[in-house]
Amino acid sequence: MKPTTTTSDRPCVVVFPDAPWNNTLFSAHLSPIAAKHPIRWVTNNPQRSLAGAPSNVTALSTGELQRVDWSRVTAFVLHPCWAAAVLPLRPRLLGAWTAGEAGEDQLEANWRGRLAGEASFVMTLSEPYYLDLSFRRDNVFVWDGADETSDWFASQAGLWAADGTDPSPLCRLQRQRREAAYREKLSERGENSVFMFYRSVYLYLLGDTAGAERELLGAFEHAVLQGDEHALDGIYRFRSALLASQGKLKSAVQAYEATATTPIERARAEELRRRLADGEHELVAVMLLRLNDDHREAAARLEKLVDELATRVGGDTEQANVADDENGESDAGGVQHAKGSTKDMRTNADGQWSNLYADHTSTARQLLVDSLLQSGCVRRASQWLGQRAALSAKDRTDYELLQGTALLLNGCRREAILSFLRATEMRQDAIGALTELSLLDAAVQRLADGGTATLR
Amino acid sequence: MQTVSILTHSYVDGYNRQFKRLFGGGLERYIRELCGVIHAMGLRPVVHQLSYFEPFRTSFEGTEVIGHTYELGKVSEAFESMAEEAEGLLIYASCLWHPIRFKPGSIGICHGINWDHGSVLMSTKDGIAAAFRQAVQQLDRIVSVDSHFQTYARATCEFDDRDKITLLPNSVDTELYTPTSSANRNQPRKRGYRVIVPRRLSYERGVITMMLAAERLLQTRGDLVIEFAGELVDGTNIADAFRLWHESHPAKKRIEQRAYSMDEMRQAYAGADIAVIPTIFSEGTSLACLEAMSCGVPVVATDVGGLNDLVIDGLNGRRVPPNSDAIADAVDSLLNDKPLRRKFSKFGRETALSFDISRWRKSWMEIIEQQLASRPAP
Amino acid sequence: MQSLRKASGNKLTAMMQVRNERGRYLEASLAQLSDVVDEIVIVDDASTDGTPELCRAFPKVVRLVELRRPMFGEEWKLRSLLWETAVSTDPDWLLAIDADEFLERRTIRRLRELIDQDQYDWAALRMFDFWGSLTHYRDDLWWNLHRRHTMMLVRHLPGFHYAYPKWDHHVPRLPFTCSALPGLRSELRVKHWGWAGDTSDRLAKYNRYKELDPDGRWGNVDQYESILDPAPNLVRWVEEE
Repeated sequence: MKPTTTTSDRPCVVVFPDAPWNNTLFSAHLSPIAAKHPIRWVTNNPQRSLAGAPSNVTALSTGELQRVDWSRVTAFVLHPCWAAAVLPLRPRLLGAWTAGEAGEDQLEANWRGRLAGEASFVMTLSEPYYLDLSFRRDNVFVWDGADETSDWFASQAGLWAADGTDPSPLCRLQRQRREAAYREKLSERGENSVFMFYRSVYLYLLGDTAGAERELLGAFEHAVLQGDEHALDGIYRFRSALLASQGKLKSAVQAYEATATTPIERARAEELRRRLADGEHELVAVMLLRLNDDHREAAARLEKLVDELATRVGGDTEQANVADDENGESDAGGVQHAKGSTKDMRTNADGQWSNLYADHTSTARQLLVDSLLQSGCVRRASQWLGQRAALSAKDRTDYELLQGTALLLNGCRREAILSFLRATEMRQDAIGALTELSLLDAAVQRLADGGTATLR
Repeated sequence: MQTVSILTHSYVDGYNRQFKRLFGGGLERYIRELCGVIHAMGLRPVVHQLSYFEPFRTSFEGTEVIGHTYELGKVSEAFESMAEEAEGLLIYASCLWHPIRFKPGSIGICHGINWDHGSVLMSTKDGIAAAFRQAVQQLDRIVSVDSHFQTYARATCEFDDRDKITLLPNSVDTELYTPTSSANRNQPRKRGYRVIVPRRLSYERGVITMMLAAERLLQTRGDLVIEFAGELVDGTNIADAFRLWHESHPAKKRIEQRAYSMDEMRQAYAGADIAVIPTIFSEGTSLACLEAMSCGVPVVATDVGGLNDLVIDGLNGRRVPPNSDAIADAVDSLLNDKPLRRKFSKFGRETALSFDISRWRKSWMEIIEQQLASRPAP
Repeated sequence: MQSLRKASGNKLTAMMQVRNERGRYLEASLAQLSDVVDEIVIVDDASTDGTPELCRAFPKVVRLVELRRPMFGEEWKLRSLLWETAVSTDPDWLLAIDADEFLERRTIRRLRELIDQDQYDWAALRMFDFWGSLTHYRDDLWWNLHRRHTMMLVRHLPGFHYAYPKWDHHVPRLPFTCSALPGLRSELRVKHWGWAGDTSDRLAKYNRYKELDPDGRWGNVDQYESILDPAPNLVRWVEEE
């Protein structure tokens, strides 16, 4: 099942730690890997960091990082503050390990999202965070002790990655196991809304939207019977995503609208209705997915949509030119001038069409950038953001901030700093990005020193 | 001996409990000079200030200084209670934008507008306008250090007395701040060009803008050194930004930063080819600009606040919009234009002379004499 | 595409399940409803007294389902059938009302403004159990329905998941999932005349309950017993305009 590797091209495992070996959150998870693989542990203070570590875990100083052949390395990053240091190295595989969301400070929270977005796969210890992330990207694993088989898949993912093999085929298998575990729990203990809702989410992620819908409605009924005040927006609303992915857009919009109680939600429902009536089907589907936080699917669809819209505009312009040639009359000099009104009409129509496409395209692009950012895919997002000059002052600041972050993750530190400075020149509070970089540097220092990222 | 009491939020360094030292800003220097004027008139100055910690009584250069405790956020009440205790003619030297109930027969000083930025909320600006209207009603006279506040007050407030708002720009000691001797003027240049930015490093004083301008200038001019001659406060966002930029800069050796004492500042000007005052907002009469001009250093300044009172573009310096491109362009072309630099140096010095401190002292004496004469006998 | 919630021009449809109501209040009820609602939908649970004919006499009854065999013993099926039938007529709002329930005049006057809005999707009213006459209602330990609210009006949202609990008795008149939607508890009043008849009427009901549910699985034994209370606390009704 798993591809084998020969010893000679066995890649290296480099761990960017969150704490010394004795204190890391992940020692139970790393020990089985350490039993089979030599591990390089990034630290400038091996005495402190590696006290009590197995013998084949050896130190790698930050000074030596530049000398490593990263094309043959699997990096396990145990703390998000390493993101700007590791991503530019472009290791062959990058696994982001995270406990979840609780109890972290703002710096960690910001970078956790970005690291999770840019990594090859994510390993988390928390199920709620696992599900949240699964709506933002593929290749997420959970190791939470809830089920033996599920944990086994997680540990296998770690071992495959250590061996240099992309663990993504295991992701779906783990998911199937977890869905089955919920099914078992429900049949043992009887129906309850929490388990049914989780099961519904798993079925959705596995692509069984019909099954997901059935389970969801059951969860909804139980939630109402229990008097759960979030039965409507917390549970029923998800139906709109399920219907949207089945292509039942009218029903999906209705399902969303039923849950729209605040002025903002009503305005969204109104917009969805309007766009549906205008025939903007793909955009409506994407908006519904985003309203249900499925940014992964939304971004995938939006990338296709933006490409499509770009080709469509080009195609129509071509057609229009051909028609002009047919309508026009050449004078002696070979200069073409078209029969007045026909050409005017065509220009107007072109103008209207291209305005419509421009609006679609601009909306689709904005949503694409936003969904990519919500998924932490900073570098992909920055590629889609429009030219600087066309943006408003506020947008230009956001543009520079985004570009700066992308540059940082590509290892272009100085250019990143300049982007942040340009953002700050336009808006004073953008200086936070520079302070954040300082804090990040300090955190990496502490981590490399065998400490923890923040001064707890 | 008649007393003139000066009320201020800051004078001696109560924050660091250094009662024998002034807190190092423009306001404190201003008050110090004003005390000198009052002494010279044979009157007795007393400074009442807010104390960060416990109340205190001390003396600085022969002037009694009384520190009053206050409740954080209750500045108006603090000034009112200081006014109760103070004797003689009262001069409210700061915080005029607070809704203070001023004692009748008093003078106020406004050191410039510091809310002149697009990002300051309308509600804040409205609140400030309301406070100033009250101040203009209640005070006999407001001394404004720049024409911008004078215009603002005239345009926002109602008042009968046309002399109510008096323009009294800040000054420079032209005997202290002098140009270097012209002896080495015509000799071939021995060193590369040197641009000085004589301000504390802060956002409103334009440090970010200047860093971006420096990017272009340092890249195109291999022999240029840019010196940020001002304080950089540890632990601030600005310090983070500056250090990140400086440390990653390929030409980091041509970027200098240090804080100077007032004496050393004169030497810094002496070595500079151009002084840049890149203020974004909040500038009264810029002392730095006056000092640079007084030292004969050609200036490139932004069109903000009181800088507009000092610099006439093309005559005694360059005056440009507050963005990095405009500043870089101006510095670049000025570095290429020695005759223009000479012209700015000469006219800059002339400008500074008309702001000499002797005139300032004389004006204040007149104001205080007039005010004392107009008050009823005790 | 129309908004799910209309703030005006709502079609109001009354839905009612009946069984042998002829000779009681049915005619008066349908007469009142004909003045108040736009359409009426009825499911007749195998009546043997000509109730369906009486229903047919009212033109606003747009659907009448006549069951051959009674579904009374599987109440959730009956409720679901009534619901589905009513929904098939494309109503905007539904009024779930029984043949022995009457709206107070003030309620009738205010009914339209209750439904012609787009803020909430159900309304619950105060229901009063009249006891032994049409002039007094009962208010004591076991008879205090009017101190709570009874959901009687719902907006029909196409596509929404409406469900009844699969019970045989005491199934709520409206799908329980409605309560997840925003709703209003109104002070408008409804009169229930089911207990307004004479003592023998009430005794007959008592006997029926004891026969169907002797152990109080679906209802409360003490409440059943209280039907026979010789001196219940009665309050005079004052009709509000």
